[in-house]
Amino acid sequence: MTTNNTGGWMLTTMTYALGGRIQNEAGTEAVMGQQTIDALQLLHDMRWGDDTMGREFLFDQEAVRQAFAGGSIGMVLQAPDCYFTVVKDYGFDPAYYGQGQLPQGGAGSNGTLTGGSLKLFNAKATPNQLLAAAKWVKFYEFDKYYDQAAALTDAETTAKNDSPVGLPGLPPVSQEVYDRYLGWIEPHINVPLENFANYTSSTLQLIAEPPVGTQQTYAALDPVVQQILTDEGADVVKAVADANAALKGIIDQAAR
Amino acid sequence: MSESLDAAPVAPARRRRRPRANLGRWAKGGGLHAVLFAIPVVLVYLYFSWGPVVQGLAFSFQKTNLIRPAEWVGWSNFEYVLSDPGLVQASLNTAYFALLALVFGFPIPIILAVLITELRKYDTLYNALAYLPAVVPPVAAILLWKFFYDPDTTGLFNSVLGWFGLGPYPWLNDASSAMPSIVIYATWAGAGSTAIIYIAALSTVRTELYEAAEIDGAGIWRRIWHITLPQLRNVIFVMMLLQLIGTFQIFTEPFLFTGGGPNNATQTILLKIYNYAFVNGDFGAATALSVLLALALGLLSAFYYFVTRRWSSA
Repeated sequence: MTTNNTGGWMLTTMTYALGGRIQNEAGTEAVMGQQTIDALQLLHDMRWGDDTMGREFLFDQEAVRQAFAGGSIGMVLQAPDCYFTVVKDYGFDPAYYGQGQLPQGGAGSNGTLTGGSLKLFNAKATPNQLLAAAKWVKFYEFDKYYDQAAALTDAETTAKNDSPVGLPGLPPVSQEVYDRYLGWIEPHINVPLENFANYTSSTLQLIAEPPVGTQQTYAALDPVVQQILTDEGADVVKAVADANAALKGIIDQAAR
Repeated sequence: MSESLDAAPVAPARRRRRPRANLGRWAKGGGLHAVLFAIPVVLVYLYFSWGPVVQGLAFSFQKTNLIRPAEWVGWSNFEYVLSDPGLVQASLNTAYFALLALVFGFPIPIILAVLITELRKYDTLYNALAYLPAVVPPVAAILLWKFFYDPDTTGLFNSVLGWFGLGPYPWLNDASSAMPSIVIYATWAGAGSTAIIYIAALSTVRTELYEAAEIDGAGIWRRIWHITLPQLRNVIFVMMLLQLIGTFQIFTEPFLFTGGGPNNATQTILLKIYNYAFVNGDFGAATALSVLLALALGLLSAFYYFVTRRWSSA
């Protein structure tokens, strides 16, 4: 998975899992180091040593999910919404779907890359419009965790649409509230939760994306991953050093 | 009566007044209507065709992401774009594609056109078959070819080549074969529409020339080289210029096939412009590179015109 910024996204996740970082906290320096080299070396060995990665690497998110659902890929680095796509859109059998955390390293500084969704309110909206928008967000995102009737209605309609109910993810509420919610919708859960045990039992640190020029950073790291996977003689250490230099340019430009 | 006697001496004065009379006559004669008909078209053209060009030129001197108010930054966009380390690779790749497209993609439509013209029977059928690839929408065709280019041994092309004992090729997944793979697709897609133009041009070649050559004992290749190609000089001149300008702006193929290719092997200038605009959100840099590309193509066209001036003086 190396096109459309997914290569950089994947490399960032693997670096975080080994305890490294891509940019520093302030977003002023590119700090890819030994962990990134190790991550790339792992990919290199899997590709050229074990030959377990096949020959096609120019996937993006959608294409790799298609290949996974079609059975030509056995294991892939993904976000939890992958289940939704492969089962609902591509008809994958849920019984064969398993999800777990990435192998970790890093002795304390490791964690998992996290993203999220933003709700944007127009600053020029009237107070009534802002209130309506806030009420909508509350209804759409939060009501089902606090109101049993709302939770059941939501679960029933979702199940009727053949969509997953109870899919493990990162809910915007505390663990107790979430567990209570799961108890309410227990009869409607159609996701094989036992296949997610490794994922739901992991308690990793959540690390934010590189703060400055995130998509450009991922785009600049795509060629690095592509090079490792398509060129057997690629020099991993040099590739990372070159990438650090390229990222510095991007950070400077973004601060312009 | 007294006026007609006065007519001759005041004739020079009347001649000086004639322009005004002419204007009135012109307006009444339909000149004004012509202008009124033309104004909407001209305005639409100015607004939708030239407006964006001028706006792009303005953007190239600003720092803008189309949301915050723009600030004027002088030449800094151009400096940034020219100092981008990826620009050299992108320019080389674009030139490489243009070269491959010229060497392979240029003769093939001519050969196709000559072959189709030589076949008297069913030439309409061959015409249609040759044009068929041009009818397939580019995005659909590219997605289809992506499937054909599957690098596993079970990929379509690799399976067929496997029958002849030729090993599975990585096609798009190797930096050295990615660009040639794209050229093969581009030749397939573009040959038909260019061949149609050549076929039309070939029908204007006078048959007496061929007959004279045959009498003198010239074989088919010599006839093509000495008669057909020189007679098609003008068309070839124009088509080559259009192809040159077109290949330097290649975007769809690298974008859909490889997104810039294994390790930037298929990164092109227009793809860089797209990335500046829609991945980085930096419209100033995108328009700066567009302006530079336009200037380069203008210089190339001028150079091309002077070099081939002999050709077009038919």
